[in-house]
Amino acid sequence: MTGLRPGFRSLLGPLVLRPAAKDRLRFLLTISGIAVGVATIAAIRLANASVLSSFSDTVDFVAGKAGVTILADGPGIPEETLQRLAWVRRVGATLAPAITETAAAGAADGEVVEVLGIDPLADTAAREYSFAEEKKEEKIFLEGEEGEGHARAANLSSIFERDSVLVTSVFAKRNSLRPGSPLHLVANGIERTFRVAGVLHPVGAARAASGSILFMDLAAAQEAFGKVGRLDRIDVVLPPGLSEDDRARFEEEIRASLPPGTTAGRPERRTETVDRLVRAFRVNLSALGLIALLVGMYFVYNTLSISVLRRRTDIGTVRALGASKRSVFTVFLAEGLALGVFGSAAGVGLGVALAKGALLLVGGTATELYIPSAHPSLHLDPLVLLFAFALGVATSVLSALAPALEAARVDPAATMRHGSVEAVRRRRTRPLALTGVVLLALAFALALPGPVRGLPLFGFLSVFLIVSGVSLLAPAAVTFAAARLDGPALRLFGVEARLARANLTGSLSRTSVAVAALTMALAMMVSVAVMVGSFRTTVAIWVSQTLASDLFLSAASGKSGASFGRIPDEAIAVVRDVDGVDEVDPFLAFGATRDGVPFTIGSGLFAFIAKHGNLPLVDGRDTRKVFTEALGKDEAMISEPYAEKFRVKTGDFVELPTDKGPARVRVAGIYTDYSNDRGTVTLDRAHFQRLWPLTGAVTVAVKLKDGVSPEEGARRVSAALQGRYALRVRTNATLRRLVLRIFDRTFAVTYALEAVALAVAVLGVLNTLTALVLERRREIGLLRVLGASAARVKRAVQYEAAAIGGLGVVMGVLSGGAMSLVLVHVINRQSFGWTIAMHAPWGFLAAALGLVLLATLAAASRPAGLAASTDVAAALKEE
Amino acid sequence: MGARVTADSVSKSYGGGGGGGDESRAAGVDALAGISLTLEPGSFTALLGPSGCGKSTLLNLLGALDRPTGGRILVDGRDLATLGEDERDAYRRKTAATIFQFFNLLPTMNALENVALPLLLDGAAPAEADARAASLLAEVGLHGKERAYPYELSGGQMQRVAVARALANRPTLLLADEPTGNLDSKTGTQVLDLVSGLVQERGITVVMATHSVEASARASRVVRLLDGQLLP
Amino acid sequence: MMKHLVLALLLLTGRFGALDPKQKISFPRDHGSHDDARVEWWYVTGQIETASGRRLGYQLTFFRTGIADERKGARASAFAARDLFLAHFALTDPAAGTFRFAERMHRTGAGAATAREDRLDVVNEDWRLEEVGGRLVLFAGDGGNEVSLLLTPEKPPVLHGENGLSRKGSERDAVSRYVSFTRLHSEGWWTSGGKSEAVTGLSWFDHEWGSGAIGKETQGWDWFALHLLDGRDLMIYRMRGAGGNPTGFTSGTLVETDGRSTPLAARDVTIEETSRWTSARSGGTYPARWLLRVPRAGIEVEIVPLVKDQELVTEKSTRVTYWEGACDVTAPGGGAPLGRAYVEMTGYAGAGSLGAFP
Repeated sequence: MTGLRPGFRSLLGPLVLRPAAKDRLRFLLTISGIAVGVATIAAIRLANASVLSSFSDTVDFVAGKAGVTILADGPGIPEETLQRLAWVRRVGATLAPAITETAAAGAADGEVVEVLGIDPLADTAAREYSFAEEKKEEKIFLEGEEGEGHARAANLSSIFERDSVLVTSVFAKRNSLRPGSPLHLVANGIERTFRVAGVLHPVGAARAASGSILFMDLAAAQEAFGKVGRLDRIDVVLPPGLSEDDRARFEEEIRASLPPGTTAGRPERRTETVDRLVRAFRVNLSALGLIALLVGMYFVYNTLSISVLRRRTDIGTVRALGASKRSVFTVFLAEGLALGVFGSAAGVGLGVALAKGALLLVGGTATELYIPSAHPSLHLDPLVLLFAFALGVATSVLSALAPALEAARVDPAATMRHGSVEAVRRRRTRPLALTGVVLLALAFALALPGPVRGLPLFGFLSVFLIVSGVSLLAPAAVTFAAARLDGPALRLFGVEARLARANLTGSLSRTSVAVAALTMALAMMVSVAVMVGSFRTTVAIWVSQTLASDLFLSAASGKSGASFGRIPDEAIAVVRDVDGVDEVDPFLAFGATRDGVPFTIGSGLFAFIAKHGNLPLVDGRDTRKVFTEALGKDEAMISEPYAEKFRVKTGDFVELPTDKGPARVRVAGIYTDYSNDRGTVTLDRAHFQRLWPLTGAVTVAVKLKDGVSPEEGARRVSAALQGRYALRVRTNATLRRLVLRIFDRTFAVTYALEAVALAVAVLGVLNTLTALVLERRREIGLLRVLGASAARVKRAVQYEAAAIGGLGVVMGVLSGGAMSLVLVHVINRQSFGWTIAMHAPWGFLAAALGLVLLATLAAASRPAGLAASTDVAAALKEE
Repeated sequence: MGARVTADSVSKSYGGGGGGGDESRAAGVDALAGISLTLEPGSFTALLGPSGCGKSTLLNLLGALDRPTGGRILVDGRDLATLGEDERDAYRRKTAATIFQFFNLLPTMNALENVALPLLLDGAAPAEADARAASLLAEVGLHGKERAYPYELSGGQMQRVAVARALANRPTLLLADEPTGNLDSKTGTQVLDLVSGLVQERGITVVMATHSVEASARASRVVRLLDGQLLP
Repeated sequence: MMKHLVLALLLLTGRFGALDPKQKISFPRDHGSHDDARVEWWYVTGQIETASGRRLGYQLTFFRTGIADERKGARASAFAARDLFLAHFALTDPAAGTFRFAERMHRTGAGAATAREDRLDVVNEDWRLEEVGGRLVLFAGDGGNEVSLLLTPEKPPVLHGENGLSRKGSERDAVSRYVSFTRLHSEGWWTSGGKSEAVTGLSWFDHEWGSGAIGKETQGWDWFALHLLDGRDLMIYRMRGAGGNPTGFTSGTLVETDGRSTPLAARDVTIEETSRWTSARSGGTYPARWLLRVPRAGIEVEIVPLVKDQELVTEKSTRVTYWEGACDVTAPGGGAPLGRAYVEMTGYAGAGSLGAFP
């Protein structure tokens, strides 16, 4: 094997490079196929990583030097906790308590900002602050001081005044603020005016939320945001030089001093929580990206197989001249590698370009769903790029394995003709199909088990096996269809159909690959479309059932699509007294965690729901009866995602974190809820308020008296609130539209991905047909000799494209249907906990499939034209 | 009745850099230099000459696969140069059939389908085409091989299929380009026997290009060709 | 409209008032915090000894400064920063020649520092000074050095000046309330490096509060608190103006063995500086030895610091640089020991060294 390298080098030219140069178009197509797959993966991962890193940056910047962060499971940490923790100071630790809040700056629809309420005296130990404008020290304790060198602490202390805020220079610039400028903040439905006391350099905590953060005094924040008596977090700065063991012990001791419903841990765990929140979303997207790459893999396989087929004689010749099997194998593997490297490089570049758009989609969705104030900016993580590149190269090399092996097996005295090779392939059709059937059976079995650590891994595997199984069935399907449809097609479409049919089965290895690639992409499109369509219809029906009230109020939440803040009780009272308002149902909720997994604890008026019966139950029981009973017995209702996520059934008990320790509440029933995938435990308002000292409402549903139109009601409510409270007032119809708009935006990413995969698959058809036409030049010449016109030759190629497209569509619809079942009943259910009724979007599917057929035919026009322009006399001379 | 073919000062030259791209021909070289020839209906003419003498070029011109650069070719009084693309296609379908050295069957079709193809191309009903193809295959001695694919047949069998296919549309002119070139001499003889039997029966005019004197012996007339010119 | 605004302002700014000279001081309430005073401090200094004769000086000071001119209850949050609580703790070890200090600062509501209003109980983190049954309990510590003392008054509380009114400058409001326990028998424990030793000694407690400004001309002050071996206690403060010259606001109190106190005026006291010391840390040059005479009381003593460097640079809290140290009291010229003292000197280390009060 010492001659491997020179042998390899001498083979590279004749077997790979020169043919590649001759077939530039096909190689470019292959490279672009890989590029698209790699680009998709890179773009999604980049966007996802950017969203997460922007959040984790915020977490890091806010946590500062804290070694342990204390957070509440429920609605805030009782402030007495600071006394319980006083002992930590004796060992040199510092406690930095803080209030965190989200507000709209400027106006009710202004920029969304994070607000951090801090104790300036303690906070410098935890977080770094640097003032953009050194101003004369403010007198906080001593008069007559010059105060050089003390500007930092003193300036921070300037927020002791209750209307003072510090803003970041980024935010100040964006909103033209200077020290002394007034700043309006809208939070919890109330607008307050603050004064800018100072501007911070973008260092330390001022870098959080990309600068959309402002700082005020702890006391002012408690008062402004209705959090008197509570803290949102306590950052503990540990004494320096603590060993890891000491740190852990310290953390444990801190935990022991905490009241119930409060947790302590490393600050990073916040990021882990968010990562968990967006994980299901990211995994779903990545899975789609992988399918795109799978299509790319088929490209490589296809191109290389053709390379090997076309150069069989050459391979035989070089083998006869003494080239080793291994050299031949290596040469073709190298071709796969080269395709992978070029394609992946192009893909990474394209991915970076796409990431910006993907970020808007992923970022928008993540923001909408989970983090209202995130302003993710694109972060080009080299590791992500490297990963996508490596994935592309690895899959290319993997797809090159089979063709390379085949090349190595070529007999030195190879005079085998194409047809006989195809005959071998045809004999493999049956075992391949059998394997496919086994994979499909396995896919069915894998759809049955539950999730793995909250992720539907088996579900994804099942979808993957469906895709693989159906692809393996492609040759059998092509053969079967050709045999069954030859007669009718001949009668219907004439001899061109016979030609197309003959080519389909004659070049089975290539045509079936094209069919398989198209099937995959279509299956993906169909399944996602059916899933999204079913989901949308289900949500739309649910919304129309549950949104029974006329008006819906929420606290003004700035530019964010999400809703934050609470409507104060006084505002609810104002609304209740508006002429024409019949009833109000305040919904109050906060985020909690169970075993580190976030969920929501909510409350409404059970009497209201019992009266109107507008919340369907999963088991179909009578809502009125169940809610009446739950009200009487102080029981909880849980949402379906909660039941799924935590495996809780009716009759079970759930533990809810309160200051006085966990409250055990029996579950009276499970209701359907598509508004929140975290899962919700809902209590009656009175019961809820006995457990937690929370007032106000997140949303208020308003029933109007008969004869008052929603528009008129909205007008009256808005007029009553005018100047006092900043609330969003939406009518039933606008809210419904909004829900569906948010839904559509959420799934915009999936549509974009589908389009990409389809484009790849259609390109695949073009690629395959081009190859076939080039390969069949002599046969085409012969057809012309036999008197077939150029137009008929062209039509034959188009029929072939149509047959590939048609087969792809049929198989795609079948396997897509199967995949949509898995998506809806396994993946979606395990990821989000939603039960979705199947509603196929027939119109969309028909249009999309028609479009794909047209696109395939359009893609075929180039190879068809190529076929028609074949020089007959020259073609006949070949060989 | 066979076709009457008249070649009148036919010449073909391949322009520099353009045209056929045939490596054996230098740029601007005359492949045929003013050939005049008349083939009587039902005659069997052998074009004898070495490789590159212009035999194939002449056959391509007679088969309307190519156009002469000078002179005229009349088939049954029709000047091939006056035919439009559609008429040329029809001419190849109905009038001039070709058989090749390498058989040139469509590898993706079985024997029956290969033979039925010209019929279907000419608009025959599928059932009718199949029936006629089957009878033609029987006629060339391949009964029972209808479903066989070309790679399952021997060289001689393939050439028989090619002959059956050539006769499918009842042509009046058969152009054979080295039909025995790829066959051993025994099989070659059998094929030639078959061809001459079939054409005589049908009165088809035959032009056969060959470099083999033995094969040309079967023709009623031998025309020698060298460097694009007829030898006297 | 205008009237309403004025009323509102009065309501808002109603917290800090001028001291009412006629207001009677009463204990134990007036040992506690005074919400209407802008600035208030509780000061304990003392010298203690272990059984083996090892001597230590200590200082523990609690400051409260009101920063929000709002009445109680004006704010809903317990964190509303009405007051800042600052504290200093210093230990002088003459045997080792060392001096160390620590400082703390907290706001209202953070659970770290408070000052009760009904009696003496000031807390800053784990440092605490509390009156329990007529005695004071004190705890302070810093990096493993802790003092834990029970202080028993040997004399009743002393009200300096007239009705406890101590004048610091010529301005009308340059006045504060000033009361002391001049002689506190001290016993307890000193812990260092995990080892505790019983200690006994004498301590001095000062408590001062008010809202007024300091005299405009004032640059600093010197304060002397002497425990004489004959059982008398002497307190003298001297305000200094430009160039370090006394402004004339010098005053003192002589407390007899039986607890009777006599006010001393500027003319009763002469102070002569006989040595100087320059701080490498702050660059300030301080007097380092004094001859103090109170002829009326037959007192003529020399005061000698136990350690030269007893300077506090309090960057994290009050941001005042001052010298506060344990001293020996001897007959002039290094004669027989006559007592012990604590001396405080402010305004020697340039900018940032001068307090607003007293």
